[in-house]
Amino acid sequence: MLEARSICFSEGKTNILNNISLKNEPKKCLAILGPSGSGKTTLLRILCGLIAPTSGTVLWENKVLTQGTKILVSPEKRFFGLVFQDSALFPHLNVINNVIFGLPRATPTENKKCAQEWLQKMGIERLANRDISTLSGGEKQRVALARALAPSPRVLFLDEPFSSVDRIVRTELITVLNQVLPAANTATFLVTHDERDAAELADETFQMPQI
Amino acid sequence: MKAFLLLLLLFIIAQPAALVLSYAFNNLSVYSDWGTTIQSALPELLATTAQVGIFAICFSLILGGLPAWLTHRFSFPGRQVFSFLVLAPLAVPAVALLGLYQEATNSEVFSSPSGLGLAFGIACAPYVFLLLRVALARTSPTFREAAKTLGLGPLQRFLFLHVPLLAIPLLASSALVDSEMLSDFATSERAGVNTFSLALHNLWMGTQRNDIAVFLASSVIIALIVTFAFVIFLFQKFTPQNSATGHPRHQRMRCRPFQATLVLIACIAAVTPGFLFPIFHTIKWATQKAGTSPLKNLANDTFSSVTTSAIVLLLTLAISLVLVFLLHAQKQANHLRAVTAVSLFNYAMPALVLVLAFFISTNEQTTLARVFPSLNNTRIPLITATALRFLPFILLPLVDTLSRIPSSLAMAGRVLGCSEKSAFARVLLPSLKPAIVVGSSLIFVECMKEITIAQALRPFEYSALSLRIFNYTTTHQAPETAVWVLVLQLVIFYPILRLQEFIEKE
Repeated sequence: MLEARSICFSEGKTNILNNISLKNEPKKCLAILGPSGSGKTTLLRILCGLIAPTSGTVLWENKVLTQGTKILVSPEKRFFGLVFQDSALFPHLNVINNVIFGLPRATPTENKKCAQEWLQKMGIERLANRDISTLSGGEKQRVALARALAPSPRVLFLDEPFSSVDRIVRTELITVLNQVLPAANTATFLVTHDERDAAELADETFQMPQI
Repeated sequence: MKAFLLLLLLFIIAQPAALVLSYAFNNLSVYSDWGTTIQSALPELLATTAQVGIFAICFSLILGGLPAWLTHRFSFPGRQVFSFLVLAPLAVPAVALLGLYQEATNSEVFSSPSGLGLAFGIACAPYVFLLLRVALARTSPTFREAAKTLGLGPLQRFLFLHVPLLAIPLLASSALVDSEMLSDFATSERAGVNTFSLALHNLWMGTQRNDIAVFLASSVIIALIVTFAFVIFLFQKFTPQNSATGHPRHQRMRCRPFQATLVLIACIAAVTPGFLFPIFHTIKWATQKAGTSPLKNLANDTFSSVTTSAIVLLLTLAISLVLVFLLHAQKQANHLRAVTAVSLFNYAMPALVLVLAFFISTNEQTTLARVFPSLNNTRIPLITATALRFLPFILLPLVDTLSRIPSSLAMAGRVLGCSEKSAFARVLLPSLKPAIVVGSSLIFVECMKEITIAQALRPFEYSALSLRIFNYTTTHQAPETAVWVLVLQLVIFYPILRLQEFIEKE
């Protein structure tokens, strides 16, 4: 179980997060709801260990990952997955190599096979050798999802994954996620400003408090 | 450890200017002897230098800016060839270009400030082309379309849209042309125009006194500090606060036959002074000399030029990547920009001032000279000084590219299991490849052509292509110059080709 206790974060004199506490279990999806600028992405980055909070604690299975301003377990050792709003696909790698990137250093053949399986689950196996620059927004998000899920993360963070895609692609992505997430033993955090996303994907919701 | 390494690199970068200033401060007594003489000569020197600088900027903006706009805006037969030909003068030192024009035309114009300005303008036009082409490619065409729909005519669009949007690259181009002009005493000597660099060189060589040269050099450094502050202010003023989101692909305008002819004529006119005219005479003179050139000298010069340039390139690459890792990976992008600005100072200073700093540090009774007594008869001072001078050529593209890489990319690498170092090597470094290629090409090209530093800091019996070209040009041996210039062009051909590829990709 991933748990955040009394997380506060401020930049200069601006308070961005104030005493946030939440938790989520494997196989459950928790939607973090809030308007733009409410600190959802900041909270997600703190949970991932990419930035340190001003105060508060992040725990995984009661093991402290972040304590106050100290990141005790660096992000690469947490085995979490993160899907960015802008996909953040590596432009120097093609589709399949993006998916292979985060896989444990097994043999290249095994890694390739695993990546192909994930591309198949996402319905984009035909794109395996394409350059990132040639993909549409929806295809990019599917690759980003495959990349995040391929290493079997303990926790999956989805940072506004549907904000840059149209309605049809959004529906397709939600269908894919509803098929894939229950099968994975992953605690999912969905950051969104859209209550419909939360209703269609999440088991619970957490409303970001207004500061 | 990281902080120590960072401080050490900063010390090395800032050391030349600091050394000259402290030396001048400790030898203030020279002011009483030479102050009046220098002060009386200074206004005329500065006026001539400014005159040459203005001519150089104007000519380079025309010869580099026009083809940049034409090859960016229009689709016409031979567009990519012209892009390459505009870059061709990068392969010829300015002194050789001036010598060629003097020999070919026998005109007095090339012994005047305007002629000297033209030579510098031709030599620097490729840089203006490079900067403007990249800037134009990054300017969204929607701005132009918006201006059109708002009823602005071509002239209004040029004045109120394109000039403000291109203010930064135009300013950078002008600063670069001025730095090249200010640094080069050899071309001024060939033209017989007494610019600041030539005066500094003559004063130093004539008196053989470091303290007098340092006194004059320190006045340049102080002037440059003021200019730098002003330029930084201008950069901040003109940097767009709301950068355009998204860059739709540019659609080049397909020309009708008549338009294409006009564009072709304009392109031919733009590449004639820098490529067609010089290459015609170079080949003509080189064939006169064919078979009689001492090939052994040619091979030795080529080898020493290439090895020195390669070492300088590796050194600058190593320094800049360490800086990028130490500062950018630590999310201190502002510090990286500050270090780049400090390194730019070494480029903006006349190369002779840099030489002077190295001369003092290795010849006077300094700690460095005591630690390395035999340092000044090796290539080390030459390589270090050249690397310091051209460091911004790689740091600037790196900083620019880094500012365009989304922060989420490195974060994605970290979340996917990369450590800080591994994320740098596996995610950031491949994304920086285009910047590394551009920077490396420019540094290699500039090192191959470098004359001032090589002339002063070379070890005993060291020779290079550029030095030989300088010697042949000053002794009016046009055929010999032509052979060495052709070889230089052949060696530099590949880096220029990579630069052209980069422009096309942009």
